[in-house]
Amino acid sequence: MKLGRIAIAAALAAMLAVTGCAAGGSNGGGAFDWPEDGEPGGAGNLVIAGPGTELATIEPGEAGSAGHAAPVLRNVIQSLLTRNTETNEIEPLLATEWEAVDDLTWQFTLRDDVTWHDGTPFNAETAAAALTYMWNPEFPYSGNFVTGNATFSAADEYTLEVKLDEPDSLFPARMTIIGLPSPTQIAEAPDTLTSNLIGTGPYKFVSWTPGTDLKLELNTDYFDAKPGMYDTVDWVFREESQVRAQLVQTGEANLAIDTTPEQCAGAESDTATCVEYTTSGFRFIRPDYYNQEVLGDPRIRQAIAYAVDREGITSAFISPSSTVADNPGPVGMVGFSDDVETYAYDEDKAKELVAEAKADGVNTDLPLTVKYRTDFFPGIDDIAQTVVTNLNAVGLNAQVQAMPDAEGLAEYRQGIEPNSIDTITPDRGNIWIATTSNDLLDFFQPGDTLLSCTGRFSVYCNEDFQAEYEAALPLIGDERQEAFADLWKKFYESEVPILPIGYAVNQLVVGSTTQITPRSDGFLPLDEAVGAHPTDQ
Amino acid sequence: MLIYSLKRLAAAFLVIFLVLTAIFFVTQLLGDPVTLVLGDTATPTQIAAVRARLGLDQPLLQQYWQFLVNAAQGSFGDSFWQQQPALQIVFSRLPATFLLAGVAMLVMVPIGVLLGVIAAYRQGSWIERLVNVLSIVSSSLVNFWVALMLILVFAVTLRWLPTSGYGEPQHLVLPVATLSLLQIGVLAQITRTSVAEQLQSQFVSAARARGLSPVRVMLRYALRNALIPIFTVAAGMLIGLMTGAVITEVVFGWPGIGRLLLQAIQDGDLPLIQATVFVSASILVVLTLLVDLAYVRLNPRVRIQ
Amino acid sequence: MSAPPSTSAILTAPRTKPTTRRQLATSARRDPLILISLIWLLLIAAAIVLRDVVLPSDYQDAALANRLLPPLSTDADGAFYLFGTDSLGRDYLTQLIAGTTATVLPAVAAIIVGFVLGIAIGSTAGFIGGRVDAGLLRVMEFQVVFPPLLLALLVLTSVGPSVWVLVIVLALGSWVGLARVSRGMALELRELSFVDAARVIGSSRAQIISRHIAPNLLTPLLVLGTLEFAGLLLASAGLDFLGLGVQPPETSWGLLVAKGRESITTAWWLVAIPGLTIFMTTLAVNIVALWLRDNLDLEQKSRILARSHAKRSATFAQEEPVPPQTTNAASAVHASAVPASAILHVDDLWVEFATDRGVAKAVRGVSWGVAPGEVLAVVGESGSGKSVTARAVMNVLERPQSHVRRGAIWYDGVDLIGLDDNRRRKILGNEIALVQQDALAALNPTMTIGAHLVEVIRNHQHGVTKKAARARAIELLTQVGIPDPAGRVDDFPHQFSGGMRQRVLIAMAIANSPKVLIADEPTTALDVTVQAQIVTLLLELRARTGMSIVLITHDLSLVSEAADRVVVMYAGRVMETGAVRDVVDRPAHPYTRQLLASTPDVAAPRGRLTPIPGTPPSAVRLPSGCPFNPRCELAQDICRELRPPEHVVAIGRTSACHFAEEVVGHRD
Repeated sequence: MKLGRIAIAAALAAMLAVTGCAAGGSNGGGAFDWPEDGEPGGAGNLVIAGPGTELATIEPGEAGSAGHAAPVLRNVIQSLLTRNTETNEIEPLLATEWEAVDDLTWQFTLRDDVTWHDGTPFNAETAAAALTYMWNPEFPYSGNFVTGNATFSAADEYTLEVKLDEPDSLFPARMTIIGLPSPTQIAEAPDTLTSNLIGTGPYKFVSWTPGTDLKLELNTDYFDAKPGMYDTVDWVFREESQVRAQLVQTGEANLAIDTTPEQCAGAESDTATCVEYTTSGFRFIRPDYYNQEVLGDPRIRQAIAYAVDREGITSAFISPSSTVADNPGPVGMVGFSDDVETYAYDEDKAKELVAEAKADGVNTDLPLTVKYRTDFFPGIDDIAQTVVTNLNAVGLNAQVQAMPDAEGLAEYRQGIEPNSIDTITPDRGNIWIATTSNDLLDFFQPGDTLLSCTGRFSVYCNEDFQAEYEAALPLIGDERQEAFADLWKKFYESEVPILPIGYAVNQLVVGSTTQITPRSDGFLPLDEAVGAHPTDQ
Repeated sequence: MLIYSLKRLAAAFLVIFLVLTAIFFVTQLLGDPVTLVLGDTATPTQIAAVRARLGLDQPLLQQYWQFLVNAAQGSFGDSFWQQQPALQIVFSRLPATFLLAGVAMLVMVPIGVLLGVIAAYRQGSWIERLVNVLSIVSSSLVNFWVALMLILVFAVTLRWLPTSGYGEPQHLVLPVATLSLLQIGVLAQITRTSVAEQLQSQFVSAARARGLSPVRVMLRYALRNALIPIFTVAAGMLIGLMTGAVITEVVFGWPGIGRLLLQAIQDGDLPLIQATVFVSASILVVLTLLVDLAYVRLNPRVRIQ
Repeated sequence: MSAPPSTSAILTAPRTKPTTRRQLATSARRDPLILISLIWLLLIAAAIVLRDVVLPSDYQDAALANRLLPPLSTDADGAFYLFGTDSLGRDYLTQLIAGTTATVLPAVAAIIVGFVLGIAIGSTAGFIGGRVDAGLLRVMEFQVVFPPLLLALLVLTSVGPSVWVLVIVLALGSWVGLARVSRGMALELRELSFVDAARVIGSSRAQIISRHIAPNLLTPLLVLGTLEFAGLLLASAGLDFLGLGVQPPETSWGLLVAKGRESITTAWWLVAIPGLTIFMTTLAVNIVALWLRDNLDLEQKSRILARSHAKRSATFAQEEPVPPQTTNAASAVHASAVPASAILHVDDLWVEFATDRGVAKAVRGVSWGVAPGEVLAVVGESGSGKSVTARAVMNVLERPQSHVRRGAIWYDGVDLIGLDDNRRRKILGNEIALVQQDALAALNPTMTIGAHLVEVIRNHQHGVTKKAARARAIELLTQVGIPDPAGRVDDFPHQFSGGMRQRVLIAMAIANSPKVLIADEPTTALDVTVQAQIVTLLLELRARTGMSIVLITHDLSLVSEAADRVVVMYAGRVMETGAVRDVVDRPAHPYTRQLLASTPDVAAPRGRLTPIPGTPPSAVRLPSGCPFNPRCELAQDICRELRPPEHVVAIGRTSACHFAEEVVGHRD
């Protein structure tokens, strides 16, 4: 087999050299050279293998924001601003400039060369209509980023004005996440919003066969359309990550999203490469805190932090290129603490702490249940089992419990009826393995959901923390950064509200005929993707 | 004959009705389906609104009655997952299942029967031993394991065939191979046994005593009469395939109703579950009916009552 | 009915003989596959029973440093991993052993439940019958109709995947087959006398079912149950694979495969090995099921034994000593027994059969011949070898048990034995035709009468069109006396009465104007009036066409009515031959005489019937000397010691008795 592959690779190289697609010696390098100007497109069909089963609708709130839809569909529906994922700076997209006129007012200068795919012209008035529709906390996914009231209006033809009822320094960040659907569609055919996505992006929606695939085609009128882009996109749905990786390896697909590190590495061949990129999300452990007789004891919580082999887990089950996390968000998040305690893996220290607590009368034999939702993310079962092994090694009494997705979610949720924080019994002893992302790159996101007493997924409620957190919320700029960083450092070092494990690293399997650079938010920027010349494929 | 058919038809309807009832009540145990519609981040008001929209806040018996009324009109509501009429979704997956079932039968039945006939004809020969071995091995094969091994060898290592998918002839090869490998042995064995049995019977020796050629005796006398058990077994296989070869579909990503049902169940998508079960059960009932009628055709002794 | 059986005997249900156990053991020892399977299953059982002993207490603990080691590797500490490690660095062999219980036990529990349910419901339904039976049948049908996987998926996801639910769901899938078999057997068994007697004594239904019916079901159900168990193993593994069965942290082989799928390209052993284990276990169970079936099922047993005996044909009987005879004497016998103009001539035919009790010598040196236009009767009791001779002529002896030891069958100057198939097929059904005794069994149930006739016509008369053949068929039916032939020509065999069917067979036999018609017991299954009609028909046909008829029968009255000459056979030998009038009036053999004395219509007008004492001998164990000697009125010592050679008694008459002359001379 190996010999065959080498032979094929050699032949391919020879072929490329001989056909001489362009001057240039590197293997296949010439294949990706396209002229600067000319007809946009030309690279043919792009096949993306992704999970698609969670795609329930393609309505704008989901398409532009949900983790399972946005990677592909943000090429169809766009937001006013975008994030540079390398510098974490917010950058222009549909709006070129923006500023806070005062505490409650923002102004955005819009591009003048944009049209929706149905022909509706893009200007301040139409943009305002779209955003008014989208500014709705009831919408799934995008609704999570909507707080308070906002009024959108046109100051002049290409100047959009937004009036808030409360100051919000995160408003531009929100504008990188909320997409703009066509106001004509909203007004005239609102029931098609769930099955026909009309946006402003480089690709137009063509068709969606639920459970099978979704098709896009190049928007040749896009302001940044250029030669070398793919003419059509076929997003094929495959549930199993293994299958997705294989599809690229065998040449049936160009890209595979959401595979495990092993599958990605295993797909490395002369036809595919594995590209890893760190995302804004992280895996974490959420031990019950509120009212807990065992897990509420700070020594036990610290023991857990020392006991869990987070380096081993991160390297084995997230990715060897990932790093252990000690902050509830990535570097670049507002509130990231540089000098926080890192709880390096130390079994002995953990045992000491446990023994200490035990001597003090804490019932360290209380059964603790490490829970997780089956298949929630690749490797979650292995992580859970490793955590159990680690906890038992230091004198605690843990066991694993896998839960089916819906049932697990119901249990995992806390701040929603009927699961309010008061319903937690003192001996419940649940330790959940989960994952979350931080798209706003601000401490507010984890703080609100995981650390506040009424957080939707929070089992943590500490009066002091709550008070300091609420005090820090209205701050902006450096003050904000400092306040949150200090807050986190203080409580993480004393009682570990949650225990982050490692930063989620996503794998992208890229076929040899495609060039693309993935982003930490998972979005696949197809306007920057280049296909090899069809004759070289 | 007509009355017999009508009686069978009536019985079939009864069965479907019972299946529907069973489905409705069993799915009530699945728990709250609302989380699927709304995802992780639903608020209580959102949840309540959706429950009202789906009619889930009505008393159970009323829901049951409504369910029956809708079912009679061919409506199972919209799938929670896809917000399209559930029945439509099921129908859109039927062609894939039928294709797989049809091609698999076309491959396994002729080969299996042929092997069995040859083994019966050449009793004690290496072919008979081969058929015996084949049948016992084939009925011990593990379907998902065979599928995965085939993918590993032919798709991943040799790259001759695609790993999964649907739409072109080469996508059919591995799934059909998997299904056939598992069933061919049984078919060959039952053919061999029945044909061998028939070959021992008196009318076969009577036919030989009339100087008829061995081929004619084998086909028109032995095989033709052995068809009844063979047909029953083959029909059973067809029915199994038509109602969804779940594991094969799952491993190969084949968009048939088996996989659809599994997904619907895992998602708690009530309308889709109900619609899929209804369609599956109906297919099964209709096929069984057809098989019974064909059986009467096959066996003249049962024909005229 | 004969005398009622003794009480104690009937209350004891027949048990399997002790020899069966021995048979099981021998066949196991002989076949390595069976031994291996049994050992494998023993290992599986050990893995389950000794689980806590064998598994280290920390077998579930992760050891990240050793992740994904391939089989046969060693880690840094020198530990050896036969099957490599999994994604958590744990020894895979240990995981496999740990998974055995959760894979096998649910199937075991399910089959037990299925067994109990199946036998209980099935035997109750079959035994009680009536509405209870009908109701239970509906339940069984509905169960079958409801797609089983559907049911499994639904129940498991609704109630939550747990081992107990899994067991119940699996059991639901398996009880119906067992119930069906139980019901069938109960239906049969309840007709048997010992059950009737138990009822008479007053045992309750429940007692009867549990004490008499159920134990008898055990054997066939054991086989079926084992096969179902194999199926349950696969189903259980499949459900585990889909994530609906056993849940982590419990492990099972199906779960191991599902988990291993994630790394299939980098760690192929994670999928290959547990899958292989499931396969091998299922295979072992199937092999054991077959082993049981081959040794417990009687039909299967005799078939296998028959075949194995036939293979060892070298053990066919040694030739018996034949008393010396001068060639003159031999040809004189030949001249008297066989007409000079014989068109069909059986010459010193010896036929043997391999049976599970030994070699049956069915025909031992039989010679006879039939002249053109002659009706030759071949007479004898059942077991005399007369039908075997006919079958030998028509080349339809049972293969592979039968063996023509010696002899020839002359027709038209050619020996039919050893003739190549193509030439022989031209003769059979054409120039020589056979009419069987059991007409229904001799006809293809899926072909119409017309099709049978057209087929035999077109097979032997080339160039005849279908239409012409069909017309001829109708003609033939008319000839044999079937009313409304045109209307009935498209009917199936089962639509005719016994007598009509016999006529149809005759029509098929004469379709090609044969020179010889062999009629094997043509009237035995028919009532008296129909018998007479058939006989008349045959004689008519002979008169019209001049064909010879070989009439094989045990009915002496028929012989005296219809035949010209007669051959009397007993225990595979010819006892006497001669013209019918002569043989009937003055038999030259004690057997013939005793036979005549026991036959109504032929016996001396005194009207007193004297049955022949005893029964014909088994062809496997024949008496020495004259085969009739144990039952013969005139038996002497010499009869036991020396086999009487066939000799000429008068012109055209032969006899094989030491005292033939006395018998001939003697008059009642």
